[in-house]
Amino acid sequence: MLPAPGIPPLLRFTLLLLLLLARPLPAADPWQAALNLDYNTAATEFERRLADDPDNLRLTNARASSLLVQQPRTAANLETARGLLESVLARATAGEREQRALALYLLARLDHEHVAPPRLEAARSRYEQLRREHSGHPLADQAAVHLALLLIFQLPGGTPEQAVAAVTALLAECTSPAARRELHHLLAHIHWRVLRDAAAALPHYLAGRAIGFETPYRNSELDLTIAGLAAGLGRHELASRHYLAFVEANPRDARAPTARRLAARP
Amino acid sequence: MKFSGLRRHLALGMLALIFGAATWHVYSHRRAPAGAETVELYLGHWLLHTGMREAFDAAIAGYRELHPHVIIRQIPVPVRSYEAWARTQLIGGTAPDITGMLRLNEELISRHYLPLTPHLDRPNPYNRGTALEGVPWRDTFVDGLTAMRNLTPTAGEVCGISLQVNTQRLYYNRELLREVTGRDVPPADFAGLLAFGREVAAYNRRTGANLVPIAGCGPYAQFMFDLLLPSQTQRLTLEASPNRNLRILPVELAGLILGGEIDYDTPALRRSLELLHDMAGLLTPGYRQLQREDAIFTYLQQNSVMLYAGSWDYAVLRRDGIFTTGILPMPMPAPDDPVYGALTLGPVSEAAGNPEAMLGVLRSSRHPEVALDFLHYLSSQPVAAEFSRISHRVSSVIGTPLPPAGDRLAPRLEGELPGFTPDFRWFAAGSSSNFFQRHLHGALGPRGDVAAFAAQLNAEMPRHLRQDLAWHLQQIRRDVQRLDGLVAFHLTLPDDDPRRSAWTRHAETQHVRQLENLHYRPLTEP
Repeated sequence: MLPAPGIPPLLRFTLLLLLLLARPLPAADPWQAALNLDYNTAATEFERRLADDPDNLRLTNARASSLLVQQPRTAANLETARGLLESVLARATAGEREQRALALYLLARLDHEHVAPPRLEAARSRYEQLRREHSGHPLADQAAVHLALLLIFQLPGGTPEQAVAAVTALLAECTSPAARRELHHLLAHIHWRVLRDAAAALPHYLAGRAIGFETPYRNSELDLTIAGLAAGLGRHELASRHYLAFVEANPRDARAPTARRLAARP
Repeated sequence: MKFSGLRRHLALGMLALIFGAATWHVYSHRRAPAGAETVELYLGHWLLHTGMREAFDAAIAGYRELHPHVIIRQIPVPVRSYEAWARTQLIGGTAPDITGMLRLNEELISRHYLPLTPHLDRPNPYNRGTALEGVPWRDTFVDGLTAMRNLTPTAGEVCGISLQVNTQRLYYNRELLREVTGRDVPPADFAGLLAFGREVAAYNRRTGANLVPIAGCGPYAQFMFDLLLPSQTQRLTLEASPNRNLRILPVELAGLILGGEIDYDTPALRRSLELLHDMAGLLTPGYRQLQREDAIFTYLQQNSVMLYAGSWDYAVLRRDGIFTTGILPMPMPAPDDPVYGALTLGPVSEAAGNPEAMLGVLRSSRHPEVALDFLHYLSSQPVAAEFSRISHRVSSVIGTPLPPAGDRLAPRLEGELPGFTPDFRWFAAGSSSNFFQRHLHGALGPRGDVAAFAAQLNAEMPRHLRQDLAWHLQQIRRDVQRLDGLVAFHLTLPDDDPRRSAWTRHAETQHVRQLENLHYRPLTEP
């Protein structure tokens, strides 16, 4: 039998020194890690916290969310996430409607965007369940936007005109500004980008713009779109107003001089 | 034997010592303040050109006079290794507090850099008493930070500022120009520039010389085409921009081509290719294989009358040229140009062209508020003026005096909207761009056939565009998935957490991205 190789004393001392110097890493705030897009750190910490507090529905949803974005993406992670979200549905009490609505929303998103191939009918069914069981909730209104995208682009059959009718019906049911502006935008998109009907698109672009978007610069891009369509329809005063709104908000943009010139056009 | 064991122990001991020292260095890096009240910041960048480090040193010294407790140290890294260095530092969590943003993708930026967007609508406090007092920080930059915004389109945040703006210029040898043309004033317009090329050819025939009109190289020629070719697509951009928002993005151009609305026989695109052919004829033969040093050498050796190069090259031309160098903004086709005027709206603004010295504050900084304050200081008008003077570079802060003798290096801020180039540079995985570049030679030179090249592009480009589009949409789909996570993480924060309300903004971004994905998805199939 060969003797086990010994660790030289100097190396042993160094390793010991390093062990003494080593400090346990402070536990990361998993939410901050997630918001910084450091999903794997977030996932690890959510898993640890959930193990300590398995009845916490908020943590369950957060852990499931981390599994949707953790790298590498695996079918097993997605199925674990599904199980966690379904457990939230099963356990949520009347006082935990917020987390239940979120779990339903994420289950729909899981089938819509995360599994391969997507399960579009299952996603639609979950979106409709969320809209039915949590009517008036902002996430139920967000589900309406995703439903609209499904209807316009992904589910088989239907004409653009039928899509317009369906999205208009969804818009009538939604109350949250965040969803209403998106549904207006989608209607404008179908009218302009699909049906090439600027006159029908313009009121929806204007309605969305009136609510106001949160993403930086989106309002300004829409100002240009509104101005361009209005100019094409001969509504020069409206066009001028929105060209100038763009210039005022973006005086240094390379397009601003052209927008200023177009605004001054009779 | 005993000696060998001693050597072994000595080697191991040295290794352990080195390892220990390195460990201690990493352990103590940025954890050992110079004094109880001292704030120590590091600034990592790739800007090693003459004058840049000196300009940073001066700014740092000025800041220290105002804030004696702040010590800022530069970490200059050669540009060739900067990208790898920055990525390693960012991922390893050891990046400097302020780190230059050279060739970083959106994911790295969003993950590691603090969004500056909340601060951009407020004035830069260091502009007090200047013409920029009270002006939102964003609007103190020549491009309103559009170029920085374009680095993070999904997040929609601006995560850095650019201190300088690069321009490209035609430099000319005044004495040689006089000898060749009999004039010492350069061409006044684009038609004059093409005529100048013919004058050089006539001079060569007459004298047996072998002068090149414009010394060129691959990268600088690309800059030149990026500036000139959009002049031919301005009107098309105005009329055919899918969202009528005065621009056509590469994905939109791909959509227009794949949707059969335009092709390379459309006058704007065809004329762009013709302009490319004409301009390439003025450059050094074989320019695509040449590098910057070759072009500058050709010019300094007086084998060319002109050189198309960057504002950053001016210092070396002044220093090494044994002749007088004049500076000329590239003449652009004007609407009255006899050949290239019909499709143009006029000169393009250079404001958003080439940002330089892009700096951002890291999330991991121990003193983000001080780092941000230093960025305010660096980009204030008085400091920018001094920085520009020392570095001989053009500041991106509006109203800043130009570097000495560099008045013609300034970007043209007024101008019409930029059109687009037809070569799909920077689009998606680069399949379309590679195809364009691989076959471009057929359109160049005296026997170059632009019509045949256009026909080849019409026949083959759609296949490459579909590949690139599929790749692009796959990236968007990943964004959409990530945004599900972001929405959910916000909604699982405690009810009273102020960050919670941002979920609607992320949901909005997701809808925008998803709409783009679904709208263009059908075009990925033949």
